[in-house]
Amino acid sequence: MNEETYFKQLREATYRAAERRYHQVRLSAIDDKAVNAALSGGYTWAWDDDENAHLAARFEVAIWENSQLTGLCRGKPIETLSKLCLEIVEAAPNVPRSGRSDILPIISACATIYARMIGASEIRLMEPTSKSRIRLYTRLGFRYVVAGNYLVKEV
Amino acid sequence: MTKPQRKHDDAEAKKIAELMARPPMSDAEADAIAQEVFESFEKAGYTNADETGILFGKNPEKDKQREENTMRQA
Repeated sequence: MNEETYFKQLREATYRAAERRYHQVRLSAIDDKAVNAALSGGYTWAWDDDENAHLAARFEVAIWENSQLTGLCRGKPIETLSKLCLEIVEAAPNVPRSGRSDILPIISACATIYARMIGASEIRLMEPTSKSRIRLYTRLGFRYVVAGNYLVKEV
Repeated sequence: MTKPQRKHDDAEAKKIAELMARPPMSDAEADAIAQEVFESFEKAGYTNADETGILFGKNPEKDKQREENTMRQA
């Protein structure tokens, strides 16, 4: 088995575990279907041209609910896979929040499982875009590192 | 999606080889982690009130990439 296949299997196992907890969603890789849905759905990040999309050990997840793409996340392990950085998280701009599940708990569950699978000792959430998210993740046990503008937690 | 992948350094190659030799995480362990995260969000009283658009990952370089993407879509 090559590395790409190995890490793909880990990500798939992560999706299946999170789906067992969050029955209402389907989780997938950020494949062509997800990229096309993002392009047509008003997402602003260039999901099809992200340098981390080509790393074998990348972390990524696309969240689907009622056949609609409701969120995307991509990141990568750093420092000999000892830390998992979630570098970009985007929620659906055009799907009413009342009509979909929260994406951050699902992404956090996937990231925590994946981090443990690859033997990472911490998760970093890079560049939170609001103070409310800093407060939320602080309540969840993360520590905010002002110098790097990220939240970190040992897993 | 055909860009070449980055080469590993020796330490990373060794870590990946060790990982690949390990038994996979059990479903029960993965399920327990998912449940633990679910409960932590419940306890924190999380609602998705501001879950729209970019939630993490905003910096000037990424803003530039976003602008380029928007222009390409236009």
